[in-house]
Amino acid sequence: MLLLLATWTLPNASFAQFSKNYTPIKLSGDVPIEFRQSARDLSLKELEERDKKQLKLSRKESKEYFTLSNYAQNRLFRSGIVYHNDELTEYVNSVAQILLVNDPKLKQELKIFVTRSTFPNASSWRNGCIFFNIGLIKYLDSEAQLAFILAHEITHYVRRHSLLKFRNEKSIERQGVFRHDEVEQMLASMKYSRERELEADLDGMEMLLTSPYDPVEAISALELLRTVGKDTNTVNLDLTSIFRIDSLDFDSLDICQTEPEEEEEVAFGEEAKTTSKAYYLTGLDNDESPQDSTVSGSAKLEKKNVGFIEEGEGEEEGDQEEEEEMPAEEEEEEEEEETEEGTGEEPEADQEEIAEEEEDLTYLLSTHPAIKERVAVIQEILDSRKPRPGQKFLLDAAKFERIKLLTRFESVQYYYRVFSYRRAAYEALVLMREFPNNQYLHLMAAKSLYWYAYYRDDWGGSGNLEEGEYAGPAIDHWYCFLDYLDQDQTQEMVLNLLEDYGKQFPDEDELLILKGRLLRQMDQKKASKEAFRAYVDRFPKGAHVEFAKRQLK
Amino acid sequence: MNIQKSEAYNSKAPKVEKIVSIEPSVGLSDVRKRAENRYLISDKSEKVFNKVLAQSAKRAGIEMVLLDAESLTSDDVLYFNELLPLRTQILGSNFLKEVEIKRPSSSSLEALVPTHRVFEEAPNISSQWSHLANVYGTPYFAVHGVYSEIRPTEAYVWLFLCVFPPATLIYLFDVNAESVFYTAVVDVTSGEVVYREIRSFSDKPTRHNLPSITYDSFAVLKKIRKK
Repeated sequence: MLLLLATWTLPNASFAQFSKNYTPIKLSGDVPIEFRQSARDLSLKELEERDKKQLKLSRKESKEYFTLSNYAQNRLFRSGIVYHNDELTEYVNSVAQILLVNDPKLKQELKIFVTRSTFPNASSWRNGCIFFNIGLIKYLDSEAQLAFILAHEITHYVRRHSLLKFRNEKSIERQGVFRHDEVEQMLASMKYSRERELEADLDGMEMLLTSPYDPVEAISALELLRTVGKDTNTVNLDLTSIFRIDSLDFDSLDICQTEPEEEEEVAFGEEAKTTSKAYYLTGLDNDESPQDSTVSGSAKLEKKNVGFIEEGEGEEEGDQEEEEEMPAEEEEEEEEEETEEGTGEEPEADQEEIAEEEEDLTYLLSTHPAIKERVAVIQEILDSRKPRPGQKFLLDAAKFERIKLLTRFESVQYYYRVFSYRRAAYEALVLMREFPNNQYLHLMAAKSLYWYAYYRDDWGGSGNLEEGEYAGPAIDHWYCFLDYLDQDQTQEMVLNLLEDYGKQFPDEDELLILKGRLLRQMDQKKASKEAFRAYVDRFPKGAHVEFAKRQLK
Repeated sequence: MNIQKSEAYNSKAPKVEKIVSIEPSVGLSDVRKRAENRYLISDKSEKVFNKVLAQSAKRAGIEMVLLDAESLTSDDVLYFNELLPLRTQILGSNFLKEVEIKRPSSSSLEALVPTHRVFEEAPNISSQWSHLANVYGTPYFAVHGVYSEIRPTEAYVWLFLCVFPPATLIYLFDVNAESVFYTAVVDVTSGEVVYREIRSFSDKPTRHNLPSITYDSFAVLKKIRKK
C-alpha cells in the first residue's frame, strides 16, 4: 500500500513545482575550468603537444585547427548559455552513463553540457565536449531517442570527424581547385560530410543496439527532426480570453487575412480559404483543427536559420568549423514536394539532373539533411539484425516528462533574455494553458509584453529582433496580432494584463513595478506614483524598492 | 587622427565614483591576417585594453572594478548568473534604442552621429539587478569595448609610391584602419542608462591612442552630477 502511495505521489510531487511557480535554473557550485580558461593559453599549449595527438597536420594547420575551435568554444562557455551543476545536465549525463556502461574510459573523456539555446540541435567537439540544446530536448518523446542522438554525437567525437573535416578542407584548399568558388568548394566537401553523418548514424546505432534502449527509437528520433519547428508543435492562443483591450473589437477584427504570398504559399485547398479570425481567436489546437487551416496569408513565413552559436555577434571565419551537428531538417519536405510535382515539361534526364541539383542545394542549405535516406539505412539494419526489444525509458518516464517541462520553462527565460519578447510571451501563454496558476508564467508573459511595448516603437512596429527559430503559423498569427495593435492599444493590453495578474498574484512585486513604469510611459504620472508608493508600502524589502523610491523622489 | 564622437548622458544621474566594467572586449578584424591570428591578436589587445581602462579610470578619479571570465575563481557563479545577462541587457537596450553599439562596417561608421546630447528619456533596463549595487558597492555597471577593421594598403598608395617615391613614402606607414570605441553605463538601481558613448577613429587601437580616448570618456562620466 505504501509502495503504491509512493509511486503515485512521487511523480506528482515532481510536477508540483510547475503548477504553482517556477524558479529558473542558475549555475551553482564550482564554475568548471572550461568556463574560465583562456582560449589563447589552451591553443598554445595544445600546439606544443601536437605531436602526441597524431593530427597529420602541419604546424600552421595545427595552429589554425586548435585556435579556431578553442575560441569558438570559449565564446560559447562565456556567453552564459551553458548550464552547469543542474538537473538537465545531470539527466543527459545519466543517459550517457547507461549508454557507455561498458566503456567507462570513453565516458570519462566526454564532457556533456546542456545549453539554453532554443535551436533544436546538438553538437560534438574535438575535445570531447558535447552540447545539447534545450530546444532539441523539448521535442524528444523518449529517453531512448535522446540516447540515440547522444550516441550519434559520441561517434563524431570517437571517429574524430572534426579533424577529418578540417583535413578535407585543407586538402581542397591545397589542391587549389575551385579556389574562387565557394559553392563548388562546399559541394566538394559535401561528399565527406554525407559519409560522416551516415557513419555517425551507423556507429550510433551499434551503440544503441548494445544498450538496453529500444533501437527502433533511432528511427523516430530521426523522423522527429523532420517535424521540429513545424506546425505540429505550435499552438494557437485564445486571444479573446487572454487579453482585454477596450478600444479593440475582437469580433470585427480581421487580422492577417490577406492573400497568401506566392513564394511562400502553403495553403491547401478550400480549407485554407476558410482560415478565419474565428479560428485563431478561439484558440483551437492544431490537433483540434484541420492541420492546414492554420495557414494564413500575410503572416510572415520567413524561416530563420539560426546558427548554433546564436548569441555571438558574428560569423567569423571558422567559428563553426569544429562542430558536428544534429539539427532539424528544415527544407527536405518542401524540396521533395516540389521535385515530385515537377512541371512535366522537362525530359527525364534533365529532370534527374534538376532533382540532383536540388538535392545538393538542399544538402548545402540544411545543416543536417538527408533524413529520409538515413532512416532507410537504419531501417535496413533493424530489418537485418532483428534486435531484441529494448526500453524507451530506463531512468523514469515521469522524470523524462519533468525534464521536457523544464526545457519548456527554460525556453521562456531564454527568449526573454535575448530580447525575443514576443516569443517569450507566446511560450509563457502556451504553458499557462497547462499551468493556469503558475505565478512565474504570468510574470514572464506580463514582463515580456511590457518590454515589447517599451521597445516596439523603436522596432518600427514589426520587430526586427531575432525571434528565435521558425515555429509555424500559430506564432506568425501571434506576431501578426501584436503588429496589428497600435502603441496605445498595446499599452492598454499590457496594463490590463498587469492589473489582472496583479489581482491573481498579489505577492508578485514585479507586476506592481511594471505597472508603475507603464503608467509613467503612458503619461499617467499620478497613477504611476501611486503604484510606486503602493510598492514601497507593500514590499518595503522588495527587490525593486530602491527603484520605486527613486521614482517617488 | 579623425575622431567622430557621439555621447549622451543623463544629467539627473548622481555623481559616479565607482563603476564595474563587465567583460571589456576587443575585436580586431585584420583582413590581412589569417582567422586564427585575428583571434590571438584580439586576445592580446584585450589585455592591453583592460590595463588602459584601469589606468584611465584611476587618472579620472573613478574607482573601477574590472570583471572578466579569466579573472574569475571557481566560486564566481554570480558572474554567469547575473553579470553576463546584465551585460547583454546593457548592450541590447542601447541597440534597441537605436544606438549603434555594435560591430561597425564602414557604412555604419559613417552613420554615427557626431553630436553631444543629453537624454530626453534615458533608455531603461529592468530593475531586477538593483541588488548588485549592494554586492559591488556601486550602482554603476558598464560595458566597454573596441572594434577595429584593418584593411590592406589601398592600391592608389602603391601607385603614388611608384610615381612620387620619396614624397609619398610616408603613406607606407599610414594604417588603413577604422575603429570604434564604445561604452554604456547603467545605474542598476534606477534601471537607467546614465552615459553612453561611441567614438570612431581612423587608426588601430593601440597603447598610445587608447589612454586618451578612455580617459576622456571617464572624465565626462565623472562630471555627470545631479542637478
